Amino acid sequence: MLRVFIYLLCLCFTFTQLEANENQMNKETHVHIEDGVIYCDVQTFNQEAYVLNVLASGSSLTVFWQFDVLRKRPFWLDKSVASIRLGRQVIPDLVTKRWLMRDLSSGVVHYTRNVHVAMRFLTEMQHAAVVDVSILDEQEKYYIETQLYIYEGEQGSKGWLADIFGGVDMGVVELVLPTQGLKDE
Amino acid sequence: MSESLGKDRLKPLVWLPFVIATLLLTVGVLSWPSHDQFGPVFLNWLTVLLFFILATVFFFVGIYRLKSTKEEYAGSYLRTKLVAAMVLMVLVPSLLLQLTANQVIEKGLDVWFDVRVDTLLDKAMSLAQGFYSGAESDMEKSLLQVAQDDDFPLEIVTQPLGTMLISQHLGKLLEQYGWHKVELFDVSERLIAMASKQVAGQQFSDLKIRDLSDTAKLSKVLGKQAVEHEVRKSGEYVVGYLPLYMQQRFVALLRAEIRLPDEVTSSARSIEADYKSYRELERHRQGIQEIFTHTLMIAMVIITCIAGLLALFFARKLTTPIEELALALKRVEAGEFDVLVPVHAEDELGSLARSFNSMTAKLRQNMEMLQQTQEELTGALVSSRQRQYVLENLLSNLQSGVILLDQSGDIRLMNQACQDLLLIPESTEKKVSIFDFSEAHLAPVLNFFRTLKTQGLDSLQYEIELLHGFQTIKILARGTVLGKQDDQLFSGWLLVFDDVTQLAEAQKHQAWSEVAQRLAHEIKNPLTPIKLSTERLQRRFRSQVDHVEIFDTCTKAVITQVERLQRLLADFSNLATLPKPKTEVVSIRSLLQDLRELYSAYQNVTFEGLPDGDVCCDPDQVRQVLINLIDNALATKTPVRVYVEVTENDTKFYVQDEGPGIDEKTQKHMFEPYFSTKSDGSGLGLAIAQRITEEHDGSLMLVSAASPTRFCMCLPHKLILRGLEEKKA
Repeated sequence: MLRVFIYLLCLCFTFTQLEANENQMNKETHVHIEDGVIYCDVQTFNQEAYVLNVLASGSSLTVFWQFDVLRKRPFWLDKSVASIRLGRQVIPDLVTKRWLMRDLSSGVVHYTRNVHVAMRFLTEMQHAAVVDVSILDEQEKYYIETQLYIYEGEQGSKGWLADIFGGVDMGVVELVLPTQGLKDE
Repeated sequence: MSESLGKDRLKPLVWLPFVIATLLLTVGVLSWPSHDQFGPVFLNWLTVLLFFILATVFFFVGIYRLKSTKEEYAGSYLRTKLVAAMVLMVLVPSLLLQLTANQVIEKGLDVWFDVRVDTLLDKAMSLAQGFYSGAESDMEKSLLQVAQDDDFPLEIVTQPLGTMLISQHLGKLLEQYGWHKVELFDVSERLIAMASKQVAGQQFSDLKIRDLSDTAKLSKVLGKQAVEHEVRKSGEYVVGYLPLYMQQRFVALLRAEIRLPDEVTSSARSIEADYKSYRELERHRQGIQEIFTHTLMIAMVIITCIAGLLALFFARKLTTPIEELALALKRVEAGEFDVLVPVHAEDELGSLARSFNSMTAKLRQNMEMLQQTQEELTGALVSSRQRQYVLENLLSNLQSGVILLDQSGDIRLMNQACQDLLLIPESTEKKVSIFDFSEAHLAPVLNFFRTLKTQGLDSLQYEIELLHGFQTIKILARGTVLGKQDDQLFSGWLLVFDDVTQLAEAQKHQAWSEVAQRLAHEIKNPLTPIKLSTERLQRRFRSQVDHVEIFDTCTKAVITQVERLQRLLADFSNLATLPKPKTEVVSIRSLLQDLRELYSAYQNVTFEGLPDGDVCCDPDQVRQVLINLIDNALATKTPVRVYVEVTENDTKFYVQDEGPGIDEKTQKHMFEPYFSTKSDGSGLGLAIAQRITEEHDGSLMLVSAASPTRFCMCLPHKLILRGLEEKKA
């Protein structure tokens, strides 16, 4: 019985590892620092077909990009230093063949007649300001964890359970602060 | 056997809970909700949770069963079977229902998402889109035609701002192109003229800046006409923007709008909504199916659980009396008969319990009676065994031989002493009947029984002689009738035999001793004066008699006869007062050496071999026996052989002559005192020899009566041991 249990565990971990590798290939996350602000460029590839299909069929989509800056702590859970959640929404208008793109963070709205533009509006987040370098301690190590939440409709939530567990992991990027980089050099 | 079978069947299907747990876990994992799950995921999570709970329950049940060393209690198998049967009765139709429902749902979805519906919706959507694009196209065309009118920008530039003239021109355009409203904005985005269906022309006293849309601004910047779609509370509009130029200088922005018909727009929006809904459903076709499946699955699991619990409840109610009965049966099997099974209900099981109680009560009574009888029987058996034991011991230790015969003469009992006494060899077939006493020497025994039987005597007693070889055994036989002939218990004869040989011999010796003593006493006393008187006569009157020769002859004869009488009396005296042998360990060689020297003058006496070894005896008395035997042999005047044979138990001295042999009559009386075949013999030699041998616990036998005649004196070795012990003492 113990052997079967261990075998099943190994199988689970193998699947998890395979899935993790596949996910790694279907996403892209970059971090850059400009004028003391850490920006993040992130893009997902494996959601494009789904988003395109939904938008073409006339359903609204709302996405949230969540960036968490965490400080590494040995022997304990890592501490969240900053967290930012950026939302975007696309509402199709099929009869006029237009897609309304709304930035939920800024409130800016504009239309597009190209569904691919609307799709990229949702699956890409360029130059997202995450945190100011000044609040980070040079002596500590940080990383950014990104998650993407996709909701059909304009509601932007599927309940607390989906909000906790429904995120798509976009990966973890190590933060190298400018002074740390100099020190390393 | 049944117990071993029960143990073999212990904890059957112990792996079953683990298999069920694994299956439930697998179904739970397969029911895990996906990210693009349509509708509420609550059902999925509920399904997963239910399956996980059930899997955990089954897993722990399996662990419990695996670890449990307790023997399955009675009725557990029946209970398990009942529960399993009832669960199966629910589960199988539920599964079938689930499968059927799945098929129906799938078919229903196929009908729902039919290609014709799909095509129809696409066409409807295209129609709606065509209407909107047509409206926009019309607007673009109208704007293009307005743009080709060069007088209109000139008119705007030349006429003062806010005059009715421009508005009137706009009114004309409104009429011409069927617009609902048209506005004109100057470079500063101020509304300078306007015309609508309701107001043909309007004069503006104050020029206000209006907020233009992004499309308008874009059109202005790009210098190109632009069309957009606006949805307002009042309805939907197609709005077109046309920048007006004069000599490549922007002079104004024309904004024209057409209100789309509400009937058409509402229909188009309805089509759009249906299309969106249809596509959404189509996209979540799998999810919809899963919702139905999960709902049915949850219902099935809940129904099965309820059915299982109900089955457990009823099975427990049903099997409890059986369990109690089985336990009671086990106790009865273990010997407890005071077991009472409670009667729970007035049904078949209650009747069974009542019958069981009645049965145990009867069993208890029977067992008590049996125990009582057994105790009595045991007592009787013990008593009988004791009696038998005492009887057997008595018989085995009894010196007398006992034979118990039944009516047919069959031997029912014969002790060892009887076998020894009657010289029945052990090697022969076991005697079953008295009539099996076919050996010659046992004929007197058979005759004794026949006499007892034929004469119908209650008891009979007389002395019989068994002649076995050269040995004559005198036996006092006594026979008694036991029971009456028609006695059902037992009837037969009891024969008792006693060896009286030694007693007879002793009596004979005693009689002879008394005779000898009396004779010696009566005769010996006058003989000495006779002899002395005769010698005195010889000495005193020999010279006075005339016939001296006659006188001498007579007196010598008297003296000789007196001497002979004296010797005879001495022998009698010896026989009567033979001393106890003074035994000592003597070398056989030295014993024979003395005799050889004694008989060295006799040429016909041969001593063959002088074996090593010792014999315990009184050497003088043994020597006397051997001399007697050798003298008797020498009387035959034939060669005499003397030899010794040492066996494991005794030493045998043989004296053999080649005389004519000994007749039967002599054989019978030769060991009796005063029996002699010689004219001058006293007849006491063999009698004394036999007495001496018997005093040594040995035997003197005539081994061969015919020529060569052979006597054997047998001295047992046990005397040596006794002699050594006496010596030590």
